[in-house]
Amino acid sequence: MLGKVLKYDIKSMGKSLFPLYLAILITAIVIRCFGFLAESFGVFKIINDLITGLFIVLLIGTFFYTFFVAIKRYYKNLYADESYLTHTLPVKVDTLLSSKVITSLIYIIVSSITVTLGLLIAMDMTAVIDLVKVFLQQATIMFETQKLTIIIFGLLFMLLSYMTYVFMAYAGISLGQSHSNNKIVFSIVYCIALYYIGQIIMLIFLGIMMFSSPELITNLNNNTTDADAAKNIMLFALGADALLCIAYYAICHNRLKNLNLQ
Amino acid sequence: MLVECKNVNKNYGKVKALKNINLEIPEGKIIGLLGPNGSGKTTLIKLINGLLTGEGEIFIKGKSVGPESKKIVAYLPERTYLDMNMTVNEVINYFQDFYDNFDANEAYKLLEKLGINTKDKLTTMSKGTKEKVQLILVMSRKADLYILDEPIGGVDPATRDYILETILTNFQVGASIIISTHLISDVEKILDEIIFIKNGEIYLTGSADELRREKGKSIDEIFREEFKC
Repeated sequence: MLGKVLKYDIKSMGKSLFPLYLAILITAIVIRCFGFLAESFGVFKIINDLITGLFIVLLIGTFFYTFFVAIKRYYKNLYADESYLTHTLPVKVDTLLSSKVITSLIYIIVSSITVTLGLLIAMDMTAVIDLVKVFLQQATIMFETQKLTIIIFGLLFMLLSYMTYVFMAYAGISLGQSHSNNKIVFSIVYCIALYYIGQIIMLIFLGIMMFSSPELITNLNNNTTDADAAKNIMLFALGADALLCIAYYAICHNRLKNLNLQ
Repeated sequence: MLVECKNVNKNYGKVKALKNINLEIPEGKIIGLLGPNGSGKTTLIKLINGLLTGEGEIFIKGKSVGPESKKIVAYLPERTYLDMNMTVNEVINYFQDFYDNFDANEAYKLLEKLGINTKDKLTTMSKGTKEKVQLILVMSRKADLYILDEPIGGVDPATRDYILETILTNFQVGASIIISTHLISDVEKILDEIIFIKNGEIYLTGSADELRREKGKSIDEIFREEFKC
């Protein structure tokens, strides 16, 4: 059943996101073409600058829009009118929830790839690529590990951080929808509350870590970092995000198991 | 028994929507779930469909409410529950993907009779057409139990006739239908059994014919008398 639910979740989110991906790629190609023309005709430079401005807005907006579409799909499919069909399908709550999570993950990856592709088409990225290379070089020294490990770890960290916010919004919506009135307002309030609770828990854990390894503070004060300490901090951040995701998932699952579609 | 409700209670905050409901619904009957607005009809229906959680136990063909019971229950809510961005063809594929007992050919036949273009998006259709599409999808399932919540509410008399005819000619032989409505005179002639619900309690149950004979009145008249404001 997961495959079937995924099929419709992917289709539904795709209907909102694919026009944006297309717009990014077309704008990127236009910028590249106008870039060549601008070298010969001054008027194209002005047009190119304007389109580049729009392009940057599109790129930044893509990440916010992907997040928004994921949240909208969750709300519409599991709590709004459509939910009357979703919850009368012979499908388990876990399957419905897993599908939403996997779809969100798929689309943030597709959005990231599209943005990267757009940048590579539109602009000369040599300088940026060089900067990334330098950063990777420094990171390999700092963590005493290989570049590939750094890249995998970095991507994993970014995805997990994004998913923490997606899960947080899902949990906020789920809690807000258990109220009889002002469900949207309560959903927003719960999202904000969960955000601060998450931050406080992270700070507490970080405090515990600092006290249990005082050398971390000494290193930070001296602007020096040893590889093991840096790895521990990164693993802690990864673990903390994973724990928050599990906690938010449990909230969503509990609310969907005790459904109250009024 | 097709449906068994044992000591079912449901509260909305301090308001008791259903009070200790004990009910048995047999197979092969058309049952009218009748009561005034706010009496608890929709709450009971939602509990049977797993859209609400309450106290007590509900069994459908011996199975508690969950994915297994949902395989054999076809539910028509009082609201439009389809994704408006889908075309009729896409919605048919959706039903076919999730319900093993959905007969797509039957659905296409009924849609063709109404002249509905299956390539059209639901968002371009009138409210009445959307409701008809939804009814056709539900009645094209070979389910054991059809639960129709206010299927004739807010539609013109001609559409009412169409809806009732579609229900009667398309449900699976041997299945039961629960029709929730307060428009009793329109459905009275097709009902085998009656469940009157009032203030969250089962007020009166029985065979439609026996009730008519016993009280010497139509079900509509009994309803008007019992639920007089």
